[in-house]
Amino acid sequence: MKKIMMCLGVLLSLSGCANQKIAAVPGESFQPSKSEKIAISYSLVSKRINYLETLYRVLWLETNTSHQDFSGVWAPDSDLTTDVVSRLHQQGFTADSVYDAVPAEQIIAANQSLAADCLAQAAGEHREIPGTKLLPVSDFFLADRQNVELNKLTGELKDKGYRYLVQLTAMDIYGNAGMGMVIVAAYPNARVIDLKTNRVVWSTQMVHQEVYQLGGNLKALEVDGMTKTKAGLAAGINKLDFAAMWGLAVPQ
Amino acid sequence: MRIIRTLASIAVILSIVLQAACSSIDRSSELNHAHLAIGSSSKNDVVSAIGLPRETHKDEKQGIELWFYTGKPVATSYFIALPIASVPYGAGTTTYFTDIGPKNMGGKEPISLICIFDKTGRLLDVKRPNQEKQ
Repeated sequence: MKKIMMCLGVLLSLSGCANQKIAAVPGESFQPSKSEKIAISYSLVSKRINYLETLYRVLWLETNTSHQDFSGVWAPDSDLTTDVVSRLHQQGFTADSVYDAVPAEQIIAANQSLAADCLAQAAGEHREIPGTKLLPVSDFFLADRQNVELNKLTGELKDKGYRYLVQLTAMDIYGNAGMGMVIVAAYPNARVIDLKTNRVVWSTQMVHQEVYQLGGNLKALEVDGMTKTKAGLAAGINKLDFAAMWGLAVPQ
Repeated sequence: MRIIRTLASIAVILSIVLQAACSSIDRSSELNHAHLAIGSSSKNDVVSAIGLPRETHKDEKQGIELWFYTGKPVATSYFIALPIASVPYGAGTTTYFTDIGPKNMGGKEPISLICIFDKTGRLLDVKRPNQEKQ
């Protein structure tokens, strides 16, 4: 089973690699210099974790799905943004969190506006995981929408000398349990807005995840202020290879 | 000696089967038996005892936060393999199965517990709507 889970992980990673080929936006070019200032923003549309649990019942398999709301114990956007900034620093980029560049209210307004657009676009639900919204189609993140709050944010970042805004947007996070393992994952869209032209120049779907040996206990992701969830998502982000995705290094 | 070994084997098998039977999504038992200290439990204490809520609601006017719990999964599906055919293949046989397990069972589970917190995250009250109706 562990091998199967690892294969699934590899397949998911490969699907991310496959997407990299179509990440470039037609008619746009994007190959940032590592000295150019990049602002980072990671936003979770709904503050919920979706669970999928497979139980071995000797003669049959039982699959349970659920979702829990963590908005009362964790505001994830700032933490996840810091994780991405940290990863970009490791890869030599000049990156800052938007929370260090502009007032938090401005970011929250832009994120809420984007979240409302995402929820409207992704009105359908996953049949397999009731309560879970579908990801917006990738074209959604390429569209040149006139989002007033986002334009305020990009304008302010441009005035502060930033060249690009890297926005990661995930609908929710996932906890999958089976055969003693627990996987914590998120599937964000990542897009780059060139602040000189205020246009989307790069966009792709990605996945970051971590596998824990927690006896299949999803509740372990919730306790201690969601420490395991936070660490798992951060560890997954730490495996993302932005330099390779942006054509600046050979994939490792 | 043989009896001890047999009993040990049964104990190991039972522990595996019982472990496999535990769902970490179904929290009905925790919700029914948790001891939450009104006036002193923090949000983290509540999460440690009964997990995260299904939904939350902030009432800014009253300065309170409500956590709504349902102990059951949103949906449950089963995979039950029923052998339908056996075909000779090489030296042995290949057996084909069909899945006869019911899918997406469950429905709108009623709220079984509500935790009410103040602005500082201290547990103010606990309501059990099902018991209060009776």
